[in-house]
Amino acid sequence: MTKKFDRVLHIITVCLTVCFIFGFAVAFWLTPDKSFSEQENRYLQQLPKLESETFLSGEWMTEIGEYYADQFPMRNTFMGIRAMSELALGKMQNNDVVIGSDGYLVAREYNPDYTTLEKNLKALRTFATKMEGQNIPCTIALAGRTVDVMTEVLPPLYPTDVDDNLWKTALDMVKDQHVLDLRTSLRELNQAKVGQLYYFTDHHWTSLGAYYGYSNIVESWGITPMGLDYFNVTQVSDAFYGTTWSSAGTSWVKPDSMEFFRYQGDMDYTTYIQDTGVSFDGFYDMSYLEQKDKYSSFISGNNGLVTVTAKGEEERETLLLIKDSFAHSMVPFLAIHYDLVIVDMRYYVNTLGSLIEEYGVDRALVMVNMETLIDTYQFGLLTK
Amino acid sequence: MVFSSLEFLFMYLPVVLLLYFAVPARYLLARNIVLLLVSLVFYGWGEPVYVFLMIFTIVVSYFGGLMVDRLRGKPGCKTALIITTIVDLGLLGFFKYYDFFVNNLRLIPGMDWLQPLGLSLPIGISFYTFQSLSYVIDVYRQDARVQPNVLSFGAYVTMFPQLIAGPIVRYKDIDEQLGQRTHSMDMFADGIRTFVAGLAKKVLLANVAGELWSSMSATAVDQRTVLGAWLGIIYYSFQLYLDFSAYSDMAIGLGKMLGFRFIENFNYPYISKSITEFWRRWHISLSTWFKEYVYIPLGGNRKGAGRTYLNLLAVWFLTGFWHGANWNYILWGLYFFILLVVEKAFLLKWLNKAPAWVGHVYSLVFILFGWLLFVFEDLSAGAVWFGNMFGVGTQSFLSARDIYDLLRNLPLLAILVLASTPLPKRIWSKLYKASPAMRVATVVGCLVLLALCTAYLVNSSFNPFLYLRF
Repeated sequence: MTKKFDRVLHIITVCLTVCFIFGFAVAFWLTPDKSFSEQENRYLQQLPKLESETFLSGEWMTEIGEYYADQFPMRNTFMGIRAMSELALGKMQNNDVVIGSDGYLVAREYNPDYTTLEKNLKALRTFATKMEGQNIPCTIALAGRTVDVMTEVLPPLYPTDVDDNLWKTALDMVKDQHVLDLRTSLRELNQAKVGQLYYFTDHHWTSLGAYYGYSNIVESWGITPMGLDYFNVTQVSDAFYGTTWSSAGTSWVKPDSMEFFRYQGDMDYTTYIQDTGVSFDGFYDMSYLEQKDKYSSFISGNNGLVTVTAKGEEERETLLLIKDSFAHSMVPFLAIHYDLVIVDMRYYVNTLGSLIEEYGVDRALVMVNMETLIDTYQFGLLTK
Repeated sequence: MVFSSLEFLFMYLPVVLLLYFAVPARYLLARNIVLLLVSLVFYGWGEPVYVFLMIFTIVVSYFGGLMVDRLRGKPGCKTALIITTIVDLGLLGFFKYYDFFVNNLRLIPGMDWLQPLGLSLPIGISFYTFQSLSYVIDVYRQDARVQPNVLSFGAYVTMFPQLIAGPIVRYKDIDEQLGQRTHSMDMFADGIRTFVAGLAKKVLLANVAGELWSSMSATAVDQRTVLGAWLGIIYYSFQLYLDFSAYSDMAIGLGKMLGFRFIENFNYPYISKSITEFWRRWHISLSTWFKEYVYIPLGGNRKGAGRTYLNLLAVWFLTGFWHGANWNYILWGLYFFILLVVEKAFLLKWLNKAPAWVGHVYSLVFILFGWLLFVFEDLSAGAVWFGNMFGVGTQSFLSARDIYDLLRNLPLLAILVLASTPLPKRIWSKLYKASPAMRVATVVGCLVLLALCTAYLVNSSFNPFLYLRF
C-alpha cells in the first residue's frame, strides 16, 4: 500500500515539475515579445540576432539570458510574488524600496557616494562663483527625497542618521554660497500637516511639494510668492503608479492621485523643447497622462534644453534653471515671475557661456534633489 | 551557463531531458553521446572558444589512459602517465597561473620585460583538469579500467551537472555507471527534489545572504562598526557555504535525473567541533582528491613525523593555490595547515576533553577568520576588516543601521543558521517516513519552491556563482 502510494506521489512530483518547466518553456516562446515595460519604464531585451562575432565573444548568450528575464511569461506576477515573500519574511522592504506606513513606498539609502557628492558640489560652487562674477545672482536649492522629508512614515528604528550625515556634509560644503535647504523647510511643513508633499508611489514631490519649494526660493529673492488660493487645483489622474512602485513590485498598493496647479492665463506660455524642436502652449504634455510615466507630463519630461516664455509683449527677466526632474513640477510656478531657460546637465552636452549671452540671463537657480548629487558626476561642464 | 538561471531551467533543461530520454535506455552509449553533446553546449554557452581547450584536455587524457594501459609492465607506462600529467597540469598552469607568476617575477629588478597576458580564466578548468587526471592516475594504479570509447570518456569529463563547480567525481566512482546505469521514476523524482532543494538554497538563501554581504562590504571605511564587520563576514560565510553546497546539491539532483549517483560534497561543515572535522565535512571531493593523488603518493603519514608535516604542507599549499592564483589563497591554505598541525600536535586531544560548545565556538571563529583571507584578494583590505572586527579603525561599536538591518533580517538569519545544520533534513526525513500527509506536502512544497525560485530569478539579476572563478 505505502509502496504504491509513494510511487504515485513520485509520478505526481515528476509530472508537476516537468509540466511547470515545459509549460513555461513553451509559453515563453509562444507569447509575443514586448518592446517596452510600462511598469518598469524601460525598453526590454529583444531576441538577439545570432552573429558569429557576438556568438564567439559570448555576448549573444548574455543577451539571451537578459531576453529570458525580460520577456518571461507573467513577469509582473512573479515580481509580485517575490515582493510578498520578502515582506512575509519581515524584511520591510523589497528591491531597496521601504514599505512605509500610510502606503508610502520610499527608496532606501545605504551607502551615499560621498566622492560623487563632493565632486558635484565643488563644480556647483565654482559655477555659482563664476555667475556672481558676471553679476548674475545664483541660488542653489537642494530638495529632499521622500526618505529625507517624510521620516514619520519610515519603520521604527529606521537609521535616519545616514541621511542626516549626508545632508550635514553637503550643506557644509556649499555654506559660502546662497543655499536653500528645502529639506528642512519641507520637513517643518510636513510636521505641520499642510498636505501631501510627496507621492506615495513615486520618488518625486507632488505639485504641493513643488509649490512650497517655489515659495521658499522666490521669497529668498524678495518676491512674494502667489498664495495657494491663486491656483485652481485640478486632479488629472487618480491612477498614477510611479517609480518606487515599479521597483517595490507591490502591485497591490493604491495608486497616487496627480494634481496640476492651474491658474488664469497658464496657457499663455510657450514651452519649447530644443532637443526635439517641439513646442506647445502651457506647461503640460497631456499625452503622458495616458501612459504610466505621468510625471513626464510636466514640460514633457527629461530634455537637455527647454525654454518657457510668456506670449505677451512685456519684457521679463530671464532665469537660468539648472535642474533635475524635481524642478519640472515647479516650472508652472516659476514661469509666473520669469522667462525660463531650463538645462538638464544629464542631457545637455554644451558649455553654458553662449547660452547665458544668447538669452540674456538675469538670475541663475540650481534646483536639484539630493539623489542627483550622489548618483553620478554630472556638473563638470558647468565649470568650463 | 549556471543552473540558477531562467535560460537553464526553461530552455536548456527541457531540451536536454527531451533529447536524453528520446534515446531508448538500451542504447546507453547513445545516451552518453547525447550527454557529451549537450554538456559541450552547456560549457560553450559561457566560453565558446574554450570548448576546444577542454576537448584537447579530454583527447590527451583519453590517449594517455590508452597508452598507460597498453604499455603496462613496460618502462613507457610511467612515461605516458607523466607526459599526460604534465600536459594537463601545464594547461591549467598556463591559463590560471601564468599572470600570477609573471606579475610576481616582474617585482624582481631586471625582470620587467615579462608581460602578463590578461587571459580570462576558462570556466571550470580546475575541476575538469582534476577529473581528467584522476582518470589517468586511476588507470595507472589499476584502480579503474581503461575507457575504450573516447565519447564515453568525454561524457565523464564534461558531464554538465558537475562540470563547472564539482563535485570532483573520480573516474573509478563513475566508471561502471558509464557502461551500466538504471533510470527509474523513483530516482528521477528523488533527483527533482534534491535539485529543487539545492536551487532554493542558492536562489532564496545564498543570493540573499550575498546581497547583505555586498551591501555591508560596500560600507565606506570611515563608517564601519564592530558589529557590522562581524555581521558582514558572517553573512559571507553563509553565502559561501550555501552557494557552494547548493551547487553540489543541484549537481547531485541532476545526476540522479540522468541515472548517475555522485558522492556528497558537503556534510554540514559549520557544525564541526574542530578544524580537522571541518575539512572532513567541507568540499569533500576536493579533500579526497588531494589526499588520494598528492598526500598518499608523497608517503602520507607513513614516513615519520617530519615527512608527514611536509606532506601536509604540500597539500595545503596546493589546496590554497588551487582556489585562485593569488597570495591570499595561498595564505588561506597555509592558515589551515597551521591550524591542522596545532590540532594534531595537542589541541585536538584537549578539545575532546572540553565541553562541546568550546569546540564549536573555536571552530566557527577560526573558520570565519579563514573566510576573511579567502574573500579579500587584497590582503591589506582584509587586514583592515579584521581590525574592524576588534574595534580598530571603526567609528563605533554599532550603528543605528546595524540594529535596524539586523532586526529586520532576524527571520532570514534564523533560516540561514537552520539551513547550515542537519536539523531540517532530519525532521523532514522523520516526518516523511511517519506521515503520508508529509509526503503529499513534499510534493506541493517542491512545486512552491520552484515557483518561488522562478519569482526570485525573474526579479533579480544578482545571481553570481562564487565558485565559477576557480
